[in-house]
Amino acid sequence: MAGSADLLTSPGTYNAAPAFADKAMTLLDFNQKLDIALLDSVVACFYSSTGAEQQIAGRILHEFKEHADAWTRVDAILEFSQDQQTKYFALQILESLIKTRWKILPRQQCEGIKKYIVGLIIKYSSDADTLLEQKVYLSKLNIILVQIVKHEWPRNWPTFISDIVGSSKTNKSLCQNNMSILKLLSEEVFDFSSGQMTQVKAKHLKDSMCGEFSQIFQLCSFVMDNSQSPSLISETLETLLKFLTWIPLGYVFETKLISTLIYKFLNVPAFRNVTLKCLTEIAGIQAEEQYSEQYIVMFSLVMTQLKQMLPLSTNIREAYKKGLDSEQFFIQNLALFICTFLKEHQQLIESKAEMQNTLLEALHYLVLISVVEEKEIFKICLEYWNHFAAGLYRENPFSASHSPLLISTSSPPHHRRQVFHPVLSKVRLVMISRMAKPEEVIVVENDQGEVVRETMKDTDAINMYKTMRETLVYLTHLDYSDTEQLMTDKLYRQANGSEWSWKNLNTLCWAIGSISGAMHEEDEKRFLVTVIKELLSMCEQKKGKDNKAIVASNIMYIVGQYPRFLRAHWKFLKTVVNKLFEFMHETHEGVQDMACDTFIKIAQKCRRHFVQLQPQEVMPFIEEILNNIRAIICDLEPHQVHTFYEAVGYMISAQTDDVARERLIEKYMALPNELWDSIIQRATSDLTVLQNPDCIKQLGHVLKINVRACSAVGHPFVIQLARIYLDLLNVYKCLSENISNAVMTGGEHVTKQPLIAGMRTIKKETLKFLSCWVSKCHDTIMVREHFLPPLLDAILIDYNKNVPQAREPEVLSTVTCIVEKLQEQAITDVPTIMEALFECTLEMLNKDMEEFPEHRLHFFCMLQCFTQHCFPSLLQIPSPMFKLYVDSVIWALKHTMRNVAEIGLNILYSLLQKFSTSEQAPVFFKTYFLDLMQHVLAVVTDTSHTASLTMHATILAYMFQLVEEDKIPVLLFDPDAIKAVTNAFFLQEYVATLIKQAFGHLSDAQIKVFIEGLFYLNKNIPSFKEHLRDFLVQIKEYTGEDASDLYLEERERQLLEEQTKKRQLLLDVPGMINPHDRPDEMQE
Amino acid sequence: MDDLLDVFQESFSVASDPLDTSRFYPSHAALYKAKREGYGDQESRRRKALAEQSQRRKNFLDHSRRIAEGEPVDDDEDEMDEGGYDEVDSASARPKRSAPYRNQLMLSEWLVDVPPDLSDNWYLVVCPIAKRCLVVAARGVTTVYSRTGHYISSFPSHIPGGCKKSGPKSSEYSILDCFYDSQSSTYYILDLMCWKGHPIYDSEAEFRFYWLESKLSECDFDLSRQTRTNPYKFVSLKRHDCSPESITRILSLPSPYPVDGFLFFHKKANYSLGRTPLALWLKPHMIPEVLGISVSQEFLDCCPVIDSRSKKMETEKGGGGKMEIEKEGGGKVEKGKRIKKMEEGKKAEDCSRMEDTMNES
Repeated sequence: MAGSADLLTSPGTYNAAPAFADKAMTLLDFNQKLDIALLDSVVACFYSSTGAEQQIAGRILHEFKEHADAWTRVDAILEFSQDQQTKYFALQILESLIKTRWKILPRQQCEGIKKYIVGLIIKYSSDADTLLEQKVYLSKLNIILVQIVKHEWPRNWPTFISDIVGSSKTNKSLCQNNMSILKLLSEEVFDFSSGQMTQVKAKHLKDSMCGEFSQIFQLCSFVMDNSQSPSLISETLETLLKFLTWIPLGYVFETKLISTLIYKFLNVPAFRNVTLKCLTEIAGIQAEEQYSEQYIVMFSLVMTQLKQMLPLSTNIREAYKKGLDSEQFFIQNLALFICTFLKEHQQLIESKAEMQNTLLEALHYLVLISVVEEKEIFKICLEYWNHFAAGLYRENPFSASHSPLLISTSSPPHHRRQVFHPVLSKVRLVMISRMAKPEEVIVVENDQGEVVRETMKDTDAINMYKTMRETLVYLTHLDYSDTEQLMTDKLYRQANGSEWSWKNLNTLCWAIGSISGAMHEEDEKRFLVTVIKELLSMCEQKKGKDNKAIVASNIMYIVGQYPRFLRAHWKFLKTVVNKLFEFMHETHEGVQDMACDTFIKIAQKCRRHFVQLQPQEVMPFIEEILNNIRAIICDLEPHQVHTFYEAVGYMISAQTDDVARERLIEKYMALPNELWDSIIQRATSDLTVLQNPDCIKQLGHVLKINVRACSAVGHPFVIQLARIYLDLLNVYKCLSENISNAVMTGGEHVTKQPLIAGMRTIKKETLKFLSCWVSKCHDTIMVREHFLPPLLDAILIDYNKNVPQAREPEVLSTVTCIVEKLQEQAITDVPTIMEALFECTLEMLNKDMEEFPEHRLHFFCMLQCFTQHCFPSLLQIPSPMFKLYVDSVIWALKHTMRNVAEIGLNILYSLLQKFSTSEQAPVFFKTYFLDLMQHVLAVVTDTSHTASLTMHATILAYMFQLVEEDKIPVLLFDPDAIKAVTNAFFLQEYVATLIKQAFGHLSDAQIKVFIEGLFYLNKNIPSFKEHLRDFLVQIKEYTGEDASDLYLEERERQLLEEQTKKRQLLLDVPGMINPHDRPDEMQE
Repeated sequence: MDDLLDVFQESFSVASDPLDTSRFYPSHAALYKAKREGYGDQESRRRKALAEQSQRRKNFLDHSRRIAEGEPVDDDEDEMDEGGYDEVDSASARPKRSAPYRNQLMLSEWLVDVPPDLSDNWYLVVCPIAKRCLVVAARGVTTVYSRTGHYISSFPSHIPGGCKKSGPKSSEYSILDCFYDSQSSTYYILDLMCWKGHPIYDSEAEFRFYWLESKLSECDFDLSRQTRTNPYKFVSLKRHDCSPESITRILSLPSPYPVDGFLFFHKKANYSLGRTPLALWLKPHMIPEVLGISVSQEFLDCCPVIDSRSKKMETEKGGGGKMEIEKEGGGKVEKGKRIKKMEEGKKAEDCSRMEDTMNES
């Protein structure tokens, strides 16, 4: 908070405009009369000028606002200011007062402000013209009033509702504004109360509002029946919409509300949107048991109205395109209405035979709307179609029989399918024509300028595809031949040009690809053969490489989507793969990438077939591939070669015979090993080879191949790893030295140069290689005995000695990976690792919370891993380091980066749990418990961490539990100094003091209730969490003397109930409760 | 299902060109079909290409300067590709990366029609198993690009323009067409397009090869030596003449490097970008059948790779001998039997070709 002193002492700003600043400062002297014209000019200055003047203006306004007496000036400002913005400024002051300090104001002044605001509102809203002119100003006043109401009502203002209802009857525009107020109140109480009010208060207000609703309802009905003013009706309907989420159902279903809405307002253009929204809201209510008739009637009436407003023959798609905004909204609302209604009540409607046509009409509308070109609307329809198709399928999950004779039209599931057959067919066509883009791999350039494959990250599009695919699969199950027919027809229209375009072809092929596995195998085969033949002929006929390439990609996409077909027809599979190899030499843009992507997809799904000997072949196809690998990949770019190797790796992984597989791996890695060996050989005689840029690049390439190959082959790749392991580590060490030297002579920025960056890539890939293999290996003993020692030797010291900019974060993640795998077996290694990595990394991270984000994350993951799996080793590290360790965990908690904070919380929780059963418990708890408690409370009450509230709740609950159940084997306090008997007692006092010191404005009663809850609720995490949330709400407000508004008594009562319940549970468990605490029983 | 397989294998391609060497050696069916669609047989296209050479008006001085300085050049796609685009759909086109070095190499077709003037007007080059690449020595560094125009590596060399001595602004740049063999760290020079700033795209092959040899010998530095400033060897490939005796001699001795295939150059052909019927390609085991010259076992031993693209030809030409060849153990085929079979097949083919030529005229 900028104090006056700051303004005076900060250079520049003061000197820049002394006269202005001087004058402006007088505003802050609250002993003088307020010069409103001056205030106006300062506000104007703040909003319109720039530079030094603006800064001064801003500071002064800020200080003015923060002043405790500022609110006393508000009425004067509102009355006399000539500037609208100044008035808003004043209102902001008032709003802030009401939100935070209402409770400490004397009663008189509260009443005064209340009357003042009400007066202002009445003044401006009584006249229709001012209502319009001052709209924005008035809405701010409304908001302030609602804030007051939340505090004052019902206790101090029991007549509020009747007041507002009463005044509404006197004047139309006043009524309109009152509706807005009621709308705001509804939102505040019902929609936005969580986190803004305590739970008890929220409940109280809700109950009050429900209780007094009949007056409000009468008013609304009156307006709806009698008013001629469009704006009033509009506002009333908007308010009604908010009410519908909570009002007692009787008001909805046992009055003429619904029919009024339908008959009077639905077909009026000005009201139809809000009316439809109201009807949708009603449709969503689940009250079929009591009001089924009403739903049916509602549906029938709405549909009748709709057919008049929007004839069934309308081309809704065109209408949407050309329509005004309000018309477009109407179509969207219509979709929502139909979908909501049918989702809840379709069964009910179907049970009435006379409603069948109406239902089909509604579905007809929905089909028409489903082709509107607007994604959000389509999503609404899609959700319903998905639900609908799934329901139909699940009734009878066996595919439609081939023979029509077997379908008995009387049995319900089939009957329904028949009834809906035309609709379903149309929906199929919609899905096929609009299929979304599947998750795709694209080729991009990363920050290092390397070309890499990336999966598409557009979650919206991915979800859309998933839902559409699901829907189409259900629809196919319901009638596969219709699906097939529709797709084939569309395909012919592609071929004959009538619907040909790249976009259309892609969409169709995505649709074809999406239903893989949905048909019977025989039908699927027939279908695929037709499709592929058609596409092949299309490819031939198209001219120009661009066109051919698109068709070719689509053919390969479809083929890749049907592994079942590929697995059943070896000859075809082989032909496809050979064709892909051909495409790997094609120069046209994108074809090689497509070929590699399809290849890896097929390799993953059909791997076995490549290592088995197929009929009429002389060797497994993998052998042919390996024989020809050089020729196949000779025109591929490096990133494509990596993909290729990964693909082949999958095939090799399918070979289960150890000997055969080993041989394959050797052959598989022959090319990269050739390159590797030659470089190593040269390096052995001349180390400067490792500073040759070309060489570094090649090494990087070789290592990336190894990494990808390893990820596909898994554990058996050990034979390759072992072959190059020692040389690999030597290269690592040597490159580390090169990098170190370069940094020493050239400074830190050399790490960005291509050569050094290339060396770092090699180090990173080496580490990735190791993590990859370790994570997949089966033999932890082998790892521990053979691989770990030389690895640690190579990487630990180097990391420690290097400059921060040259330290690889992958060292941390590799270590984590290894320890995850080895778990207890790594216990003896952890101290060494900590020695090398811990402090030097902590140094990098403790300067702020943002730098070295990768190291940061991996560092804490590593600590978590150690805590969870190698806890005993933490007891062996030297105690200064242990203290730093605990400090670093606390440091993690304070991060606003969610992932780091959460890991920190997990580590803490783990730590507490492990220590509670350890021998070292006394020392640990004595030293750290109170500190940890303090830090956790600090983080919890710092509202920027509310996302982790559950975890915070869990930890605090656990800590309180430990104390309550006397599981801490040592006294947390010094018995001579403090007058306490048990830890529990002491802790209560301790925490109370902490909170009082931090939040002086809280009352003792509040604090007491808070602390009790911490003890009574600690077995029920959700309640504990809500308890914390309530506390956070209270921190924001100043309570003053009257704590009644916080409903503390009710809260106390609740807590006492909880405690009794808890005790009862425990009492039932023999021995759980300390004999001293048991209720007195009959003495023997 | 079977006809699906056939169509998939034969006609499915992104390139409309059936003689594209990345595809299988074209079957009769494919060739007939191409001819029906007006593709023209190889011999007539050759004559046409030769005739049109002199009319080509491309400014190769500007072109080679652009290559040297890495500026975008006009992308001459394959001739066959001018088939008109049905649509240029920018919305769904994949993002194109700029690759100014694409299509800078002269690419061959499968030798389908044996040129009648083979012995007189053609050179033969025995190509190693290596990666075809474009080598640009300019602005003090030698850079290597793949066939598709993507950067592979860079290093110094003593080719004019290719090392620091030449300096960044030097107008002494050179462009070569090479094969890179990683095993021996050697760049085998196939052709020369520009030397010391003088482009020779528009010169006949005969001249280019002569120029290459003479420039190499004039060079102070022996480019085939591997040193710190010249880390890769540059060795030019020998050109042989194509008389039957010469070819027989080549085929009877083992080759100094593993052989991928034979390239035939028309002596009068200029260096054209992209595919041309004036450069022809054959795999070693196809020689006996196509040219009627037998291959010695020692030579065949230097051709270790029999890749799937070439395999197809055997099964096709064998004329129903598919099963038999597979029985013989897949890739490795016994010499004697094969040649005999091939000769039978070949005779049939010769007849059909004659028929073709007669039909055409």
